[in-house]
Amino acid sequence: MTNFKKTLLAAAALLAGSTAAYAQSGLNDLQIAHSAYTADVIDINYAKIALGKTHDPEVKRFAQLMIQDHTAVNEGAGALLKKLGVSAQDNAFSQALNKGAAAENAKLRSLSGRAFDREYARNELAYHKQVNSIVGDTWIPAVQNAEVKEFLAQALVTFRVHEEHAGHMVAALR
Amino acid sequence: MPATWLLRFASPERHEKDKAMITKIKTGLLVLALAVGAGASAAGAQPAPRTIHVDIHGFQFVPAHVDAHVADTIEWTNKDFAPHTASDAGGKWTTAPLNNGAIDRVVVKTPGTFAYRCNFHPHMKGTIVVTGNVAQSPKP
Repeated sequence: MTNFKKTLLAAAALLAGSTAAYAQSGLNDLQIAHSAYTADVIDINYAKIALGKTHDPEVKRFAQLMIQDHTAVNEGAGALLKKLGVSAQDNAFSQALNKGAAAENAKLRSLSGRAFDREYARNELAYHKQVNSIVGDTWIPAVQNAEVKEFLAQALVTFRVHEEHAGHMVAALR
Repeated sequence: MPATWLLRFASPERHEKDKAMITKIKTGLLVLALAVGAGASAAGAQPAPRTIHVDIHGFQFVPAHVDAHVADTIEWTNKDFAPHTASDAGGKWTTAPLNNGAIDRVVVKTPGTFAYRCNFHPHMKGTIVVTGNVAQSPKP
């Protein structure tokens, strides 16, 4: 099976909400870098929606932290790619991530008040859990370049902290 | 001569302004005006001040515990992508927000045990234990 076909399969699995086929993603280093960057941008955009809607100071603080930390990670990614003299490659997996995000963005925009806060928190926990699983179980083992691997490992530490933080936020909003 | 920057609490509202400040103070010294002790005893022989390095890496202060002497400098270097601070939990003092690769320093002037954390990620905790006599000029 070609890498492209594997990627399409993984993207389809992501849209279906399954993580079972992530290990078959078959992405190369530059495609993984692009997907990681895309995942960061998606979470930054969720946070921007949250800042425009929430009145909860803790939710607001979390959203500000997401913008700050994910922006910093992407700046790190950009610096590394520049140092390596390469560019990230758009791919079907990144596109699938964006499609999933568009649906969630629409859902978030339709909500307000406590319902919004709860959905934002729920999605942050689920999203970080899902992305962390992909980064830790699939991308880090698959990446060939040592510096990209180290970058992803450090990014994963950041995202795991966010996942834990999101878990607390979900609990607090029950 | 390095700049001296008065301590203040880095509230989220000040964060953007603080980020802009960070490049100005990378080489500066923060003077840490910790709680004044019971009073200065007679001045004895003081060891030469030294700089104690603390890395911020993997969302941890490394080492998380440092033993210092009055007049020593604690120097934090952020090796994470995510910005961090080293800050008194009660808001009495803080470093500037430290972006990746940024450095900030504090001169300890009062004996005692001082717990600190990252303002952005409060689960990150560290401790400074300062021994020795109160410095002759305990305020910045």
